[in-house]
Amino acid sequence: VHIVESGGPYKQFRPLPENALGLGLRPVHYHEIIREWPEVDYFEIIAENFLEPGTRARDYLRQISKRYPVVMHSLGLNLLGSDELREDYIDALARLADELNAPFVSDHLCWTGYHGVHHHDLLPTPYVESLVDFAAERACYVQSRLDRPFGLENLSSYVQFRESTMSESDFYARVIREAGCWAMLDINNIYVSSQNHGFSAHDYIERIDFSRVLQVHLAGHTREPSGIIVDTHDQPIAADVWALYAMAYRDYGAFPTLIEWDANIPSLATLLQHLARAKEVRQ
Amino acid sequence: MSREDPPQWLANFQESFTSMLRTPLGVKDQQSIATIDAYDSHLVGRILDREGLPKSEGLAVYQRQYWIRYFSSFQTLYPLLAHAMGY
Repeated sequence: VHIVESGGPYKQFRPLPENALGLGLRPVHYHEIIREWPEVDYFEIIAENFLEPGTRARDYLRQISKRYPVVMHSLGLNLLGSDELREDYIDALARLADELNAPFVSDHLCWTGYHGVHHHDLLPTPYVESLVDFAAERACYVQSRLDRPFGLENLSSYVQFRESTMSESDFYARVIREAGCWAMLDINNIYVSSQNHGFSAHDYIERIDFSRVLQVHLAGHTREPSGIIVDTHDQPIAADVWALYAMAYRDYGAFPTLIEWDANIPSLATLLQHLARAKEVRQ
Repeated sequence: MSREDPPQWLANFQESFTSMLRTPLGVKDQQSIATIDAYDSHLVGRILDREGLPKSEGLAVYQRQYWIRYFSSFQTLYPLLAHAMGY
């Protein structure tokens, strides 16, 4: 009961226009953005890069946030970690979200550290009943502390565990429902995991309540010589991922869409072409 | 603060996974490689089989990524020292 009530105030509306197209804000593009003010509906920041006040990055962000909505994506909540949530970290996220008037904040349904040490990766767990309530209460708590919609991103993964008693998609859907929070759905992650584990990406998407999707992420991946696909964000979006995106938008849309690129980052012009492609694909 | 305690097994699982991540990489033909033979057999035993791939191969992706990120941070923070050390 506590969970449902606490999630209540943030459950009613999707804070961005349903057809909004955004880009991940990366340092290599700061100057060009401020010089040209490109036609982008919104930007998403990696929150950890801006938590320190008084930096040059914060100055760029302040200028950009005057012209565009800026949503926040964080990497360090360690929601499925056995460590306690870090209140100082949540405070810092909340302060930045307030400063930016961020429409929403998102992080990942995974663990990222143990015993106070951050692993700088998004790590999987077995998906079992006993983890659903734990994850849901923590997500609900974070949402109430941030005082705005909080989205959970689905994981891309390279292993599955024998003791899992439910699929990742069921675990993901249940945590979001029980927490009263939102889905930050990464379609590339669904594709990567479906290929690595041999499940149907279409079946996964069918289990998603799209009325709870804050936004969709699209990104590129790399296939290793072993055949495992790794979520590298350093390549163009694959044709199969575009096809899944088109299917989701046609059958369950509309929803805001953001393109992520974190290594081998191309020019802003190339990223804008990808946004144009997203617009075409969903028509 | 959250009132739900983590399930008992979670800390044990994460301790074991963390130990796997921190296992040093090996070197073969001047390339860094995952050290699958050093993984805890109990952790490997928890991995679901997949057709055509050793169970440890998925864990190896995480181990390699852990060290690649570590080295990348090192190179970013200390570029001259990294250069002097041949990275």
